[in-house]
Amino acid sequence: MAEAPVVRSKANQTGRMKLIIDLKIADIIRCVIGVLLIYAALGKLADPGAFFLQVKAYQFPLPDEFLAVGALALPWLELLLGFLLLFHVWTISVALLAGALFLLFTLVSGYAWLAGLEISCGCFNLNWFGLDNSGNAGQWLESPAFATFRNLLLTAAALGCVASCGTKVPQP
Amino acid sequence: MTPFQHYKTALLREPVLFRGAILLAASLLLGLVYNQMHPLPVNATSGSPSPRPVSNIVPAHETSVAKSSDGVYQHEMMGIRLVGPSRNASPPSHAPITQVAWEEIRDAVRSGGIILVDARSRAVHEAGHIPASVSLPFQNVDNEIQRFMEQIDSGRTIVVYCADTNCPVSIHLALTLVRHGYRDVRYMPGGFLEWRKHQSSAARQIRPGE
Repeated sequence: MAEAPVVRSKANQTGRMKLIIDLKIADIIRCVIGVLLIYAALGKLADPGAFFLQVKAYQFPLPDEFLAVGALALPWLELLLGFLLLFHVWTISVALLAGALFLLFTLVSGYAWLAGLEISCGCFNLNWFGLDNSGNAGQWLESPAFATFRNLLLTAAALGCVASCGTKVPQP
Repeated sequence: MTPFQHYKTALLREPVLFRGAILLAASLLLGLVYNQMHPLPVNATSGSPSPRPVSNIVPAHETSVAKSSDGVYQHEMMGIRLVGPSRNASPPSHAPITQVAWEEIRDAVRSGGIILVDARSRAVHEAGHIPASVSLPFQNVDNEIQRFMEQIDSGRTIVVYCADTNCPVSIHLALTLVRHGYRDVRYMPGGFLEWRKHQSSAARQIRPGE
């Protein structure tokens, strides 16, 4: 008779711990994605013309005007998504859109990797961390091969964020 | 309700497409406004000059630079009429690898007195480069140096550039060229970005009708 409350208490404690850990991990993932999106956006916004040339370097069979529109809108979309994620606004929608964006990036960098293009993916401005995009570390971090895996990981993280950040599954 | 059903219901309730459309429209609008204000804007309509193979580089005396009676050189480039005094940019032979700025070499590049070499990758070069520059990617220099040496005389003045001041590839390529016998090699640390900044400020200074 005396053991039952102890068991219930432990179960409650475990459940609460799990919730706290889930919440913290979910929040960390959400904030990391948000900060990464903002950082990527600021690097592109510093020199829109250079970002357009980086997009052109992918050699897509698309007109320049179309690529220019994409190059103009993408940094701002990243910035908005980043801030919305960081401030926990429209989280499910924003995390889904970020996931879709990362999936698109995965396909694009995968295409550059498979096509053997020796280009910088144009993802981040590494100069702000004292790394240059043309040095060995910079070239590796910005290579299409690495970008493909990184974007795949970010896609999974964003979808994980959709599952854990936005929807709270009711406990049975 | 199973967790899967819960997620499905929650996602279906979420106006993802509507919010996505709002964000996309806002991004596009912000991008267009920002581009108008930025000193280094996206300019898709003018496009980038098409890549120029090494064989098309012509010696200085064969360029279309015309010398007028008052000793002033006039040259049409990219639709802009350039006028400037005669300059001999040839540096002394066996000079160490020195830095140059675009302002210093601009006239000599336009007159063909200097060979500009782009050390960035071929794909990046084709996306955009300084007019009349030759692509010699440092990543692939071992395979391409022979072709380069067959077409560019070792006595020519060469200026190597890459992306910007954070890009060390130009100095490495300059050293490689010196090791292959080129006697007058310089590098432009500001690189493509420096040229673009000059283009941008020049475009602001030139008004229609001037």
